[in-house]
Amino acid sequence: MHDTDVTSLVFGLVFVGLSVVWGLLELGVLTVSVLPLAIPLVLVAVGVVGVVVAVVRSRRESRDEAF
Amino acid sequence: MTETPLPPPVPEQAPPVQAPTQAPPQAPVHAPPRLEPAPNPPLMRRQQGKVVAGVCSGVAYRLGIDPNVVRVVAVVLTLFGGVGILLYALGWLLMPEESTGQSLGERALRGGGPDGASTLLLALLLVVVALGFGFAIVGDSWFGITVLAVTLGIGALLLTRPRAGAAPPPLVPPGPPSGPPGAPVASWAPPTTAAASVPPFPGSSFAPDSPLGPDRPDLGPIDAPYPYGPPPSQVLTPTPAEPRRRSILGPLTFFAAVAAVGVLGVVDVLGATVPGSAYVATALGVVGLGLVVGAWFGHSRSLIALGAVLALVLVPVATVEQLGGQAFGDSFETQTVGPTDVDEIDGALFEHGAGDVSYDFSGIDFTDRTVDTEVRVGAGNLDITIPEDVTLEMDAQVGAGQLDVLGESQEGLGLGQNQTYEGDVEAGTLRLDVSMGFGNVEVNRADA
Repeated sequence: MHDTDVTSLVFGLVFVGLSVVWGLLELGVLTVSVLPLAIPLVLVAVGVVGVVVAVVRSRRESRDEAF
Repeated sequence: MTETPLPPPVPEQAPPVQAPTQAPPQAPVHAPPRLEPAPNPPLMRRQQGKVVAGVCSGVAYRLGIDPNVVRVVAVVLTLFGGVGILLYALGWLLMPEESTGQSLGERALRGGGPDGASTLLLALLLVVVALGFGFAIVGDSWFGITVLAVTLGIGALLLTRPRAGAAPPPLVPPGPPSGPPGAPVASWAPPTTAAASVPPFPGSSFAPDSPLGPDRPDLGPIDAPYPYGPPPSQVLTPTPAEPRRRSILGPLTFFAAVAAVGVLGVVDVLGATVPGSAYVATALGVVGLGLVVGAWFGHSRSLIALGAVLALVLVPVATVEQLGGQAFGDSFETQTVGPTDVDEIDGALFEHGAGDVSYDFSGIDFTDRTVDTEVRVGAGNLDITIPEDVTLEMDAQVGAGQLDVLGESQEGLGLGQNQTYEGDVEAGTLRLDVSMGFGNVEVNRADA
C-alpha cells in the first residue's frame, strides 16, 4: 500500500460514478429529469473526496517532515 | 536467439523485447520460452515520411508494410461511416510520439508540459473520438462493438508497451543446469523474500544443501510432476535484482474490463436486451474501480485515458438512448406515414433514427376505442396529425428542441408534456407517447 494517489482516486471515482448513474438510469431508479442534478452531485462527491484526501496527505507529509 | 538487426526508430527507446545476448552456450533446451520471440518496432507516430501526424506511417512501420497501404485502408475505412477518421484520431491521441516517446494523451495526463496548442488538439481529438463512438454504437451495435474492440486493442498495445525512456527489465537467462542431463531444468526464483522458504526443484542449483537436495531420488524424465510450482515451460524468470516491478494493476483492470464486455456480449447474443451503452458503462465502471484501487495499491494511471474516452462516449450514447429511443436509423429519413386502420397503430411503436417524419392519423376511426401509440425519433422533426374530435392523452418528452402540442408551445432542454386534451366522448381516445432526442415535435388536429 502506497501513499494515496489522488489523481488515480479522483478519476476512478468519476468513472465509477458515471457508470453508477448510468445503471440507475437503466434500472429506472433515476429518470432523465434528475440527470442535471445527478451529474453535478457526482462531481461534488468526487471533489470533496479529492480535497479531503489531498489535505490529509499533505498534513501527514508535513508531520513526517517535522519529525 | 540473436537480436534481429532492425534499425531502432528512436535511439533512446529500446525495442520492446531484448534478446538475451549473454545466454551461455549450454543454455538448456527447456529454458523458459520468451513471451515475445521477435523484437518488433514499437508503435509510434513517425516523423519520417509522415503526411498528417505520422499515424499511418507509424502503423506501417510497426507492421512492416508500405505506409501507402495503410493510408489506402484508412481512406477506405473513412468512406464506411468515418471509421478511418475515428481510428486516425485515436491513433493521434494514443500513439506515442517518436521524439518524446509519449502520446498526446499521456503528456496531458502526466503533466509533461503540453503547450496550449496540443492541449487544444487533445480536447478536439477527444470530442471527435467521442462523437464517432457515440454514433457508431447507437447506430449499429455490432459495428459499435467492433470499434470498441479496436479501442480496447489499442489500449492493450499501450499497456504492454515498455515505458518511454525506461529500458525493459533485463531478462536474465537461467543458469546452466547442474542436475543430471534429462532431469527437469528449472530455476524458478520467486521474486520475493519468500524464496528462502521455497524448496528448490530437483536438479536446481538454487539450494543444493536443501533437505530435498541431491539425496532425494531423481524424479525422472521431463514429464515428471513439478511439486513446487508450475512447470518451467510456463514460468517467467523474474530477475532477482529487478529494481521496481511494473504494477500489474493496469493490465489486470484492462483485461477485466475486456472480459466484462465480453460477458455482456455473450448475454446479448443469447437473447437478452443489452443496450449499446451497457458495454461502455461496464467497461467504464471496471476501469474506474481499477483506478480507485490504484489510489492505494499498484499503479493504474495509464487507465485514465481509456476511462476518459469511455466516459465521453457514454454520455451522448446513454442520452440518446434514454431520450430518443433505441436506434438511430441507417440513414436520414424523410417520410410521411398515413395509416388508415386503427389496429395498425394500437399498441404500435414507431421508431426512427434521424429525419423528418410525419404521421397522419386523421384518416383513422378511433370511435369507442382507446388506442396506445408510441413514436420515438432520435433527431429531427416529427409532425403528428390527429382527428379533430379525438381525445388526446399526450405524454411527450423532448431532450432538446421544441414541443408544440395543439398550440401549446415550449422550447428548450428537457421538455415534457403530460396532459389530456378532451375531445368528443364517442370519438375515442388516443394515448400518444412521443420521445424526441433532439428536434421539434408538433401535434395538431386535422382541419375539419
